[in-house]
Amino acid sequence: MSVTVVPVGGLKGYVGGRDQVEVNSGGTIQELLEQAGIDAALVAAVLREDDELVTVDYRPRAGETLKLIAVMGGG
Amino acid sequence: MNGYTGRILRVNLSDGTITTERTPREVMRDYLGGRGLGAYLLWTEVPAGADPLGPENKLFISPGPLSGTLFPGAGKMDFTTRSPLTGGYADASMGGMLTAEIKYAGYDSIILEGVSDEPVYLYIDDDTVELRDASEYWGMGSFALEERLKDELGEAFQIATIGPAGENLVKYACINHDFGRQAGRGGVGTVMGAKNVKAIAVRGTGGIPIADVDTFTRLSREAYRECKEADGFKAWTRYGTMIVTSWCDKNGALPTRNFQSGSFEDAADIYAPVFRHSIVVTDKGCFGCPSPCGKYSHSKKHDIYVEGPEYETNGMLGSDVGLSDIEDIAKANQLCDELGLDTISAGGCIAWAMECYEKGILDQEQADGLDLRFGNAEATFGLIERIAKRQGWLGNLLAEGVKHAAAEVGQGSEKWAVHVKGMEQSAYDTHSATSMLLAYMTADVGAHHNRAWAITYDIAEGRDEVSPKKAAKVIELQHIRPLMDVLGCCRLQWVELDMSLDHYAPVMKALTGVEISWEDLLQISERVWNLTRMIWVRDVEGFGREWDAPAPRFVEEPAASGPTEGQFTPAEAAQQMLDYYYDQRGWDENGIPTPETLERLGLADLVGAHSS
Repeated sequence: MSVTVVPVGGLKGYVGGRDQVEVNSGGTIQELLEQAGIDAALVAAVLREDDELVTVDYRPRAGETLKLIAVMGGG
Repeated sequence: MNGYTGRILRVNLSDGTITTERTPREVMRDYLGGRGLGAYLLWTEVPAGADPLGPENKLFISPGPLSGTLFPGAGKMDFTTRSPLTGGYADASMGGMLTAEIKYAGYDSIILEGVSDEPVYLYIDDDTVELRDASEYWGMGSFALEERLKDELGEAFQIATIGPAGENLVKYACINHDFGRQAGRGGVGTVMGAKNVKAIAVRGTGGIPIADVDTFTRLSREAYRECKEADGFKAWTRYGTMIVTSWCDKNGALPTRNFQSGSFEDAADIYAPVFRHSIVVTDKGCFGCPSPCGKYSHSKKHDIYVEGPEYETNGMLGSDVGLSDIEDIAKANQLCDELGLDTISAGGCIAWAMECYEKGILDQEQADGLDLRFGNAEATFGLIERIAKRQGWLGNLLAEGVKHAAAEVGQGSEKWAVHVKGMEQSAYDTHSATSMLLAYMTADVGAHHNRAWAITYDIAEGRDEVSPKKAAKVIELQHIRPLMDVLGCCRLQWVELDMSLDHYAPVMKALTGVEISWEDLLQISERVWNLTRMIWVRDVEGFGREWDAPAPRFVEEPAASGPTEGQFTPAEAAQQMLDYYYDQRGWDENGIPTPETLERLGLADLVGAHSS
């Protein structure tokens, strides 16, 4: 069972430029990002269904799709 | 000149004369507008040695060339003055609707000079400009007065006000507008208060000349579409700048208990989803904004409405003072806005006082009976009121800013007074982030993040790395970010939505009819940066390298907890970064622009200027 990770912008560089990658479910987002080879420190926001913001401690269910927004700038 | 109204409004508050003059074409060419025009006017019109609160200081209120147009985010303007907080250069950017109204009324800048004998407000209805009696408004809160003037003058007028803090010359008083937008930093509201100007009300019905309307409209639409179709559009619009709270917390950048650490144990209670779901009523944007970051909120607990909190306020009046109830932070935000205080500086001052209190340097009697432990919401509210009204020994002391307060209290408290050049640091912990630390050290108003937000670069490149390329990144950002304040537009479409920087030069050409490249725009921004540096050199006795010193907390004391626990930037590393920075900027080892640098930037007239 897997979770779909959709990196946006510069984060695609971590996954060979691919639009999305599948990772095994069961862990926190932090763990899934490590699995995908994406540096969690450069992810500003993780968005689940309907662009709902979740933290890297969140445990996604199998079949969920997560969109990753890169950190670009603050307020 | 297309893109400009061609007129500057000059209001002499001492004798009541009101005149207009032509906007010098060559000044628009070399400085464009907004912050650039303000810096030019400050250099040419305010003499060295002018008391920031005296009649010789002036307040320059300047839209930019893009302000009030169809370009995305064209709702920004700049207030420029000599800062009562730092004694040096200050500008504060403000969103909302006022900038468009000033352009439509026909002014590229409004100059407030002299001091009025009595409280007044400036009334502008196109060419009808009057100083009106404001005696009955003196003492009113910012929002209360804005509502009152809207009732009296009509909704079409856009209003900027100061609160009691500005009247009482609190050194970091802000200017409020549109029920929640501020020109926050450096005491621009203090200068307005010193001039006895309680408010500015503007209505304009004119237009802005555009060289090539069809191209300008097409390019603006394309930029708009890019924003709306951005991957992060929905999330940034839903949560605003609060979205970075969790990121900062997870990465040791969230100021906690006066920057003792960069991670807050109760931070999850002030993350963006909690904020959005518990208190946000609706989104609120500035003029021409495709992605409104403003959130209008209601706290049931306190029965108050407020625009915010946004991230900086969440950090400085939340975790930095130990508050973890988003409704308490909203209440502190609302109090600061209504009373007219910059939330960043207010939070920094209160956090410093709380640390003094917990360390036994200040007692409850000195705190006017307040129990100033971190996390005490009522004490936070009480101290905000006392600062704004200069009530009690501590309220009056903190009204002068944290640098002054620490010098007065002593006993080592200077070590945890978190400021640069006398301005309280905004909400990014820099124990372990050498670029961001350098950005704060060298920002031309003091420790403010809006000149260069380099902390992600630190994380990508290595947080403790000390290298020329990090200094280069800070310089690059210091030319791009403040350029938006020159142009009169918002940077968030770029920094949040990744809107391409390729839009700016073509749209400026379509607006003005003048051929201009992105490199030209960056050089103008660099010119302005060196001009503001020379204002410091001229106006502040002994100005030099030591003014770029970081807050001791980040170079002498490790972070107490969180992901950066035990880490700090050694002082020599910070100085090495400064060496790289000065060298790349073409400044000497004391941080003064060399004659060659000034000549390269068309600032040869400034060579040799120094404080007398």
